[in-house]
Formats: sequence, C-alpha cells, structure tokens
Amino acid sequence: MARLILHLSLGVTLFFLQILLLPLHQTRLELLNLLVFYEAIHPFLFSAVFLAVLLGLVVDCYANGPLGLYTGLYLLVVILARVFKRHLNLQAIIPQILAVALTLVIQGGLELGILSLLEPSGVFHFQAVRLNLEKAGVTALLAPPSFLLLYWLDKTAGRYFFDPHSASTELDDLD
Amino acid sequence: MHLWRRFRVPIVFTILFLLIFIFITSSLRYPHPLRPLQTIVISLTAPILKYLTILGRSVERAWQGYFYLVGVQQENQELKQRLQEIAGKEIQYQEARLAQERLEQLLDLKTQLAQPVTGARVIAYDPSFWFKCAIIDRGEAEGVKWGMPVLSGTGIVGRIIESYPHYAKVMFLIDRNSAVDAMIQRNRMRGILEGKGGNLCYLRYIPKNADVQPDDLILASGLGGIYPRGMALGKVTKIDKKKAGIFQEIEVTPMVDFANLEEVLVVTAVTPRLQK
Repeated sequence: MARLILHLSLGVTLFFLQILLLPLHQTRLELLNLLVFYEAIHPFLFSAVFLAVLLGLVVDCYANGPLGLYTGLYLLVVILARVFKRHLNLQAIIPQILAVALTLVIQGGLELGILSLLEPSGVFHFQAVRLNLEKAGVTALLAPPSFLLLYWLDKTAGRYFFDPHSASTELDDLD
Repeated sequence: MHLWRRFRVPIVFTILFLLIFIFITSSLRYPHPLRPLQTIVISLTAPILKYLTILGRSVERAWQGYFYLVGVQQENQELKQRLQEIAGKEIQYQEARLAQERLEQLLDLKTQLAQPVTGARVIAYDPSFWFKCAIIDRGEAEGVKWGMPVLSGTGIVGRIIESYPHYAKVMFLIDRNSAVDAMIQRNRMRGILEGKGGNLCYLRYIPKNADVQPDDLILASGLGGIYPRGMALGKVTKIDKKKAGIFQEIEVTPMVDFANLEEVLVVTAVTPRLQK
C-alpha cells in the first residue's frame, strides 16, 4: 500500500511536471507512460491497474478529449508491458528500450485511430505519425535511466516506509 | 471459482475496457453525464497547479534576472553587495513593469470591446499530445460560461469549453476541434480558420483564384456569433495552391503566443448564440 501511495504521488508529481514545465510546442515526453510501464512489469498487477486508471482519469479531465480515452490508453500500456515482460528479457537495456518504444507506438497508433474515428476532419496524417514515432523514440531512450531511478527510489523508500521483501522491486522477481 | 481464478485478469480488463467504452461514448454528448467527476478532479488538482505555476514563474524570472546581472557583478566586485540589492529591486520592478504593460494591453482591449469582461490567469496547459487547451482560474462563480470567447492583448486565444465552480477550460484556436469564421483583412475574403495543432491553423474554403499573400492579417468575421468582429486571429505564413481541389491551403500562425500565455480576458457578455 505504501509503495502504491509512493508511486501515485510520483505520478501526480510527473503529471504536474508534464503540464507545467514541458512547453506547449516541444516534443512531449510520456513520463506517466514510463511510470505505468514500470509499475506493470512488477508483480503487483492491481497497483499497476489502479495507477493507470487514476492517472488516466486525471489526464482525461485536463485533456480536451473524450473522457476515458487516456484511462484506456494507460490500461493498454499495462497489458502490453505484461506481454513484453513474458517475451523479452527486460533486465537488459536494449529489450527495455524496444519494449517501451513498441508499447508507445502501439498506444499512439490506437490513440490516432480512435481520434480519427471520432473527428470528422481526422488527425491521421503523416505529421501525426512522425510526431508519434518521435515521442515514442525519445521516451523509450529515457526508459532505462528512469527505471533505474524508480528502482533506486523504491529500494530507498522500502527501507524506511515498507517491507522491502513484501514489496520487492527486483526486476528478476518478475513471473 | 476455479474459472474465476484462471480468468480473473482477462475478466477484470474486459470489464474495465467496457466501462471505458461507456465513458467515451457518453462523454461525446454535451453536457456529458460524467461532468461532476471531471469537476471534482479539476477542483482538487487545479489549486495546486495554480500555486505551482505562480511559484515556477517567480523562480524563472528571478533566474533570468540573475543571469542579466552576472556580467556587472564580475566587472565590479566592490559594488557586488549593492548590485545584489538593486538586482532584487530590479526583478521586482521589471516584474511590475511587464505586468503593467500586459494589463494596459488588456485594459485597452477591454475599452475597445465595450463589453463586460473578466481577467483570468492561465494556470495549466493540456497534458495530452493532440489537444491544445488550458485551465484558467475563473469559473462559473465569476460568470464564466460555456462558449465565451477568451482574448489576450495580441488577439483571440480561444473559447471556453468547460466551466467549473472556480476554474474553466479554454480551447485554443490551434486545437484540432477549433473552427472560427474568419476573414482576410486586405480583401475581406471569408473562410473557416481551423486548428491544426503544433501552434498552427489552416484557413479553409478560400478559392484558388483569391488573392492571398504571406503576412496577410486574418480577423474574426463575427459571423460565428462567438468572437468579436475584427479581432486579430493570425497571419498567413504559407500558401499552397498546388494541391488538388478548388480551394487553396493556407497556413496561419496565430497572433497569440500560446506557450507563454499568462493573463487573458474572458468576454462575459451573453450573446444570443450562447443563450441557445
């Protein structure tokens, strides 16, 4: 529970960071997606789902899109992260980057697809695809250091606030 | 029980996605039934954002002020202490002067409009990738309602699309869902200015034989019933007549710098269109 609260607080902080510090017209880093992905590759599926739903809901409330869109997209990250966890060795850096990049590309593609269905004018054009790939690439490259940072944070916080054995953060504990 | 244990994860995800599907379809109607939920989330998080924004801007300005004075400090060590005192005052003075300039601009606009307006601060931008909107610190309690136009000293910002008790959501001109009845100032040719995302708009439905030049000013025609007639929207930056079809493709850069928007005016006059 303490771990979930820690990650939720971190998620809200990242959300504030994402909407306050990253300027409007620059490439957006999907920091929240990284956090949800990290949570999803750990054994606690419930906390990953809870985090995805809650953060998705907050993003949905601030975004000018249909309510539920980002909640769904964050849940998709949880599912894809679990799938990649089974098929790739996420201990290594390259598979980590690859898994995050693929997850974000699939998520972005689905987002574009849904928005194209909802909007008569459509957003599915070359520029949108390019931006999506750019966003996925930049975020994926940041995945290994971010995961290391999160791992260190969990380990440090685990010493003081929760039992590190019951809430193991070792990547090799994964099923 | 055995089946539940085996399939609980797919079942939970299926239920969640079904719920999300219901959320999305119901939120496409206006006013959507989940609006109270949205109001609660915004009301809980927006005050934090408001104070973080104020803090962030103060730190940014203090930092910029410091850089401005570094050279002077190195030149004259004896006056370092004195300069630091002045630096503090300088930052305050510059802050006050810039604020005064912005507010004077807004005041001029208020006089020109001759309509009731309310000033607001932008406290947060849209976190999503595809939409372009912002949250301002004025809401229903201050008379801000759906559809009201939002202006800045340099031109039209957008319009209110959601109003909460003390906050409101503004859709920018550059949002893909934004469409404004516009005209070219030089030849009064009318078209629809649509948001393109990425700080740009398109002026649509202008025939290929129409005379459009780069830097032509685009104004609101007032025919949409929302934006005041003659307010600046943007400038033509690119014209493409080579594409197939009867219309030319005109790229417009808005007058407003959406990334650095701080204070805005909301025109609170209720027009017949808004009453509908």
